[in-house]
Amino acid sequence: MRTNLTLSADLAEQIERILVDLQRNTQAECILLADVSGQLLSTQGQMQEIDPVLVAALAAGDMAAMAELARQVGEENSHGSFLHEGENKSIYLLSVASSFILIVIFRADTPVGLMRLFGRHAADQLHPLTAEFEDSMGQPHQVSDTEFGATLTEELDKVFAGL
Amino acid sequence: MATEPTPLDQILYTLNDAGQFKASVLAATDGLSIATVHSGYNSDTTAAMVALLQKVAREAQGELGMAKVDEVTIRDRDCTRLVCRYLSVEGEGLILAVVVPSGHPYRHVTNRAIRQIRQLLS
Repeated sequence: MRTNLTLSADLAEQIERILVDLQRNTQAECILLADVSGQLLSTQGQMQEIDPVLVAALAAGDMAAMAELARQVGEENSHGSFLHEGENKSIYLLSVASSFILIVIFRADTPVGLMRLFGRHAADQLHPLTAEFEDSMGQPHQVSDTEFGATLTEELDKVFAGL
Repeated sequence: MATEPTPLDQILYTLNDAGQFKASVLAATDGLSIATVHSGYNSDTTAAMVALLQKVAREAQGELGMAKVDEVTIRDRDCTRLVCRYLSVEGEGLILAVVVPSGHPYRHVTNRAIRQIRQLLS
């Protein structure tokens, strides 16, 4: 996994606690926290069926595309959330403090209202922690096209390796 | 594959059993279902309808200069009641709706459920 993001033990524990609560309250299958360039910070739940690094990179791409789409239609707050409703599994992406993404994968029969309620709750709780993390990194983590592109390309190469 | 009930599901199951209600639903004020006790009612439709009632209640409250609405009840000819209780937790508006059979009390058990929901979300 290519990452230069390192959390302090205390911060990692606080973030993990929030993700554990979110999973308990929603029975989500798995939850990931990544930065907007797609680099993973924390995961919670069952990861056997997914590649978390790839999911984080793809989610960052989706989030960036959706933010631009929102800007194109004149939405002032382009860092919101969006939901993919699948047949068996659904995906909910939430922006946390505009610099991080909370990715929740859950069974499609879970009420969307439940996911939204606790997702927002978790994002509110994560907000000060991500700010603390950014402070500890010295400066806000900016989205770099090059960095994001490199991460995505690297992960897609892994997926299609051997084909 | 069945999943474990969420803490909110458990609160609603307990509420539904304690009140012997026909249905219990927790919905967001925009009509999205959050948790429900399975019954003969469609939970998505019920959530949307109770949110619609809340909108009407809020308009009536504004027009008539009433204090904050605590509950709205619809009673049918069989004396079955749809009771919608309103709560706000950390800025989120929620509606707890129960279908109460004739003659059954509901205030005490719904008050207890509301306290538990607030506690969970705080």
